[in-house]
Amino acid sequence: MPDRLVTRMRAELDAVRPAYPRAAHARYRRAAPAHANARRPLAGLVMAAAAGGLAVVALATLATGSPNPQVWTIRVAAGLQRLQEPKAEPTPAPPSAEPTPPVIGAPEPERSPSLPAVPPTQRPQEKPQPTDNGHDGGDHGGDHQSPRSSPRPSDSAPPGR
Amino acid sequence: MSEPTEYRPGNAGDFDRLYQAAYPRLLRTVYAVLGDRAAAEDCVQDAFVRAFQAWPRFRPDRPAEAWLHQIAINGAISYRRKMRLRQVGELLRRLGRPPEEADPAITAITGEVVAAISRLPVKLAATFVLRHYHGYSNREIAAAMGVSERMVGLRLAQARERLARDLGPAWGLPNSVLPRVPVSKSGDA
Repeated sequence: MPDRLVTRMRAELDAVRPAYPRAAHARYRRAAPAHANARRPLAGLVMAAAAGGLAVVALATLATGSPNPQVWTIRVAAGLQRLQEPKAEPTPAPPSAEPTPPVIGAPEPERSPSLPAVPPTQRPQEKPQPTDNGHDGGDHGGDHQSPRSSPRPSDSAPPGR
Repeated sequence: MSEPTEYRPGNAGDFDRLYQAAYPRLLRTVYAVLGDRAAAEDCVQDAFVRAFQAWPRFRPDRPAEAWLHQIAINGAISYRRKMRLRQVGELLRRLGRPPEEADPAITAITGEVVAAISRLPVKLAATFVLRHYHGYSNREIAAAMGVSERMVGLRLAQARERLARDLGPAWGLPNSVLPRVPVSKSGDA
């Protein structure tokens, strides 16, 4: 490389004399530093928490109609009590597990649908059914027939035989 | 190129010291590459902004000024690309109109040699300035620009040849002495 070209280039570039570079005036000082970027997620979390808190306050105010937190507490306690009430109902249920024998002739009390219904075959205990199925022929409707316990006329031997 | 001072990554005070030490040298490099003082100052300031953001990750085993040069040269390449696109847009807008006279405040370059260097492709110009103005070795240039030493030698030869053609025989060696180097069209080899 000829020295003349390099010498001339150096002279031309040396003529470029920037003002004393003050770091205080540098652009990087005004730009966001790297550690500020690390704070951004934290700031975002804080903002999200604040927004969530405001939303909760607004919802509670709308739901209860009062901005008073004491009113919210009372409403919440009442709501919890209401929720607990249906759970308390099944506790008296065990005594009803042993059904009292119905009084004949008395009107049958209405049973709650939750309680097990007593099978109808157990109700007329005072009327034992005969086990003679030979004449039924598989007809289940024979239960409604009348009193099989009473001897049929054909079965009973005539007094004359 | 000597690096007498050691810098601690992430230390703001050390970065301020680096700024004060390296800013004039970076400005001259980018000015030679772009040929525009205002644009060079803008690019160098942007380079320091990017460097400051990456300062906590800076590796102390690397020469700090070479690292800054790499950032600044990349910024100059982006700037030159944007300017080229803008020139194409202006050319399309001015189709059919009489050409406007160039603003002398923008185009004026103090010296003939620097003007010729600024007409080189950015990578050739930067390699030339780092080698012959800042006195970097080919190895240091290779580390700063992320290329091989062989590529640095090729770029230096290309820059020499182009400057000799541009400035004329009065500034360069006779054409018969210049090394035969294939010159890429883009010059960004």
